[in-house]
Amino acid sequence: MSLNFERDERRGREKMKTKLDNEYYRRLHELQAIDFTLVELQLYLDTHPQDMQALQQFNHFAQVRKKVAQEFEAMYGPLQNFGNSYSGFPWQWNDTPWPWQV
Amino acid sequence: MEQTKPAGQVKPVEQAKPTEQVKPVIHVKPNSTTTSTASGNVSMLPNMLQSASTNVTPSVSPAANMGMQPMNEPSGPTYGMAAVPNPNLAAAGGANPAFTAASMPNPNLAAAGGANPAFTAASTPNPNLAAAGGANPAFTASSIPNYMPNLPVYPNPMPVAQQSSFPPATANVNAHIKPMGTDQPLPLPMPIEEAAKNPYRYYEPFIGPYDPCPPITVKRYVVPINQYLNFQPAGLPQFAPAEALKRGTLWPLLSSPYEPEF
Amino acid sequence: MWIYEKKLQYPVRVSKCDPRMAKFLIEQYGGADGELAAALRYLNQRYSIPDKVIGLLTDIGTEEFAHLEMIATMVYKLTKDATPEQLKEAGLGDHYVNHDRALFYHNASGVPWTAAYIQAKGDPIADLYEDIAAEEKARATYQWLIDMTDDVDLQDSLKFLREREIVHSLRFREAVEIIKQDQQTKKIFAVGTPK
Repeated sequence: MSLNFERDERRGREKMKTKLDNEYYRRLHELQAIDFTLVELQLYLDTHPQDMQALQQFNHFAQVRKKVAQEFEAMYGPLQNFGNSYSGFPWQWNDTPWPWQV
Repeated sequence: MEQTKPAGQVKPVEQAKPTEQVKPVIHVKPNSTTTSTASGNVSMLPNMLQSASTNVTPSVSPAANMGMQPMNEPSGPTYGMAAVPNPNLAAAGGANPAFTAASMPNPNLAAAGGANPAFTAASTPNPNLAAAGGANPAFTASSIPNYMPNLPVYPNPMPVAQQSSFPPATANVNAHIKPMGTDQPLPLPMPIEEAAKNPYRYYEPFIGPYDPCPPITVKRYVVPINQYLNFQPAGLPQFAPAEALKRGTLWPLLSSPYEPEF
Repeated sequence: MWIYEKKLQYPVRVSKCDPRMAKFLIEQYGGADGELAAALRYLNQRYSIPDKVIGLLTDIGTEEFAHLEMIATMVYKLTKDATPEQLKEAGLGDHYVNHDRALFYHNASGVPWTAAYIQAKGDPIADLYEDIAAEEKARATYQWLIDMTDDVDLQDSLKFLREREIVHSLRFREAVEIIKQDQQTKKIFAVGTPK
């Protein structure tokens, strides 16, 4: 029984190369914009815990972010480790590109 | 509040004129052999050499002494056991009268057979001095040349009588100082809208005559908007997310742009 | 517990192939006022700071690690395709001899990072004022880095980072105000050891 390791490697290698086209950069940029808004609101709410309007905006953006990230991950693989994102087969976390290669 | 000067310019602050200063009095006696009338720093040197053998206390007038206290007179409060009482001692009911130096003899001293009566300062001369042939009799105040030139006495020296009563205890020594804001305007804080639009400040540094390189006549520094806010107010207008990502902040008021100067 | 997100906080783009800039950028990687110093400083101070402000220090410290990744990305993009000759011309010969094209935590002059760059006094006012000063120092360093390059895309990323430092400084000022007006002081706490 020959190992199917090499066959899976070849299959995996085809899947490994995420195509960095305009669609990828557009979706990435959209996700980065929403995430940045969340970071800013997080810091603001750390020092303004009683600001109801900002808190509602934060929760709303968190909901939007979940949806946008889900679409991104479905196309380009998991964004977070340790179970905060699902993975397809074979294990996707090791796939390129990593952020500094984008 | 109205701003008379346009934003960004820094007006040099006028220097306050110094008040009339009293010049210290220096009396120089080049060939002083005695030390009783010595005053000022010049003749302190022979004083210190002679005091070891003659034990003369140099008397110096306070104004000419320029603040230096003579070595033999302690200045300030006397710090002794009575001056700084130990609170723990007071709480414990005072010092134990049975606890004195005599009641607690030094065991080392007792073991050595008591204090040696023959052991005095005179019985143990300085070996270095003896080896050098004793104190040099030729080494007197007059044999040291006076290195300081004859300094002129400053005009209008303060009379000695006035020195002792200077200043009068009840005089308002600060009468010449006017309260701030009465003679020149205080620097008013820039309103925040103006500060948000003008992050740069310019000034003209002093340019000396011997600079090797062509001088930069106007220098710039940055005062970002966070200097005008201790707390971000709620409800500020926001950028759209994409614009916010590019600018680096969600709020236009906090955006402080920067462009290279050159 | 830290979760890593596999994307940069800001889309870093470097348009000019100028490895000399990498030598300057490394100042914000392993320098005294750089992102590593900021991240470790804030994340360490949060163990001894009053409860009201722990969240802020955690969040800003985490964001500084994201900025560290951005600087690493810039340096990586500028050096990954450089020959040893090009690196020598860029002034990175010393770095190459020691590290090849690996990044390392040292400043623009090659001085390695040290914990002497950070402090945690245990006194909230001292710690927060140190944080404010650190943010202002980082902002100034980004200004000088922007001065050093004429690559517009690289300048965009550096301006983003500079603006983040301004906002962080403001947040730390707010933290100082929060510390100054601690509401819990209205309660009378028993002073001394518990019985």
